[in-house]
Amino acid sequence: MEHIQREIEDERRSGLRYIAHTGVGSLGSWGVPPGLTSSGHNWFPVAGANMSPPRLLHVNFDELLQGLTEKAVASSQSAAAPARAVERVNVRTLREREVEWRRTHPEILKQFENEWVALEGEKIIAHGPDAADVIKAARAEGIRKPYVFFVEPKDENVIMYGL
Amino acid sequence: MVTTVEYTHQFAYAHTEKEGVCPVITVSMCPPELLPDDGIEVDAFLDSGTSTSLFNGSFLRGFDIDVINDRSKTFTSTAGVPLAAYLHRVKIMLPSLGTFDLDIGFSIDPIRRNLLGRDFFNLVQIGFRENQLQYFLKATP
Repeated sequence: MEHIQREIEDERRSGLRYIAHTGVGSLGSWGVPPGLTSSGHNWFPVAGANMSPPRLLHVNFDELLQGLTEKAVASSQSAAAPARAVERVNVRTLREREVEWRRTHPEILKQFENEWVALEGEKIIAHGPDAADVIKAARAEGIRKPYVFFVEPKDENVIMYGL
Repeated sequence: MVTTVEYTHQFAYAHTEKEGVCPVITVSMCPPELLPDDGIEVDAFLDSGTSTSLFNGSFLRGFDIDVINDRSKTFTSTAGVPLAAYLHRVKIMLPSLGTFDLDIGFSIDPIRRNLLGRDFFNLVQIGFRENQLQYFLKATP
């Protein structure tokens, strides 16, 4: 199930990278900006990249689809045409490194199922069934602002909803 | 005439152990009397089915704050199971988007997932592209 999900995501992101390389007139700043790379599930600003301030993102889906089609055709007809610069979009999220580590280390996290975990970088600082205890334990280890999350057991027969 | 929305921020869905990628955002949260750097960072599901945001009450105990106050609320799920919670004003901070004051319900019971609901959506403009596993935000509604 997981590998199928990954394939779907990879296919979608492959499509998005294509958009970024070709540029799409009607999409404004849509796509993965230069200076960013799609690593895992979040797009990371590349270290040292010269990030410009956030720009407005215009999303009109009818225009988007039409623009995609037109640009794809144009691109296939003129492969030598220079790619248009794509405006940058701020996509930074908190704890990208930790979220990526969670994605790539399920075997380690499996032993912490049904527990709260404080993760700093790639190091598990504290864990336990009570989030308050985990927060305090992390602070005792010198983490002023800990990142804590709950490791839910994976069961393909269980479907998640809000509460 | 269809309204066209201009967004400033675009995010990919984030990884969760249970279900792969989901509309989850990592936020910084702290009580108003504390400095932002003394808060915690937690994941929250963006949930349009939730009218008032709901977080695990243990987070407040992590700040030595008593969850129980005079602002009791009962949350109910689709199964009708009641969940006792208490409203607390906290600051929710997102990188480059800003700081938002929210009265969030903090549960007595040990819930596993934090929910950012329509009270948060009311403070921003948010859009989803489920097919692309993305959501979009701008800081003003």
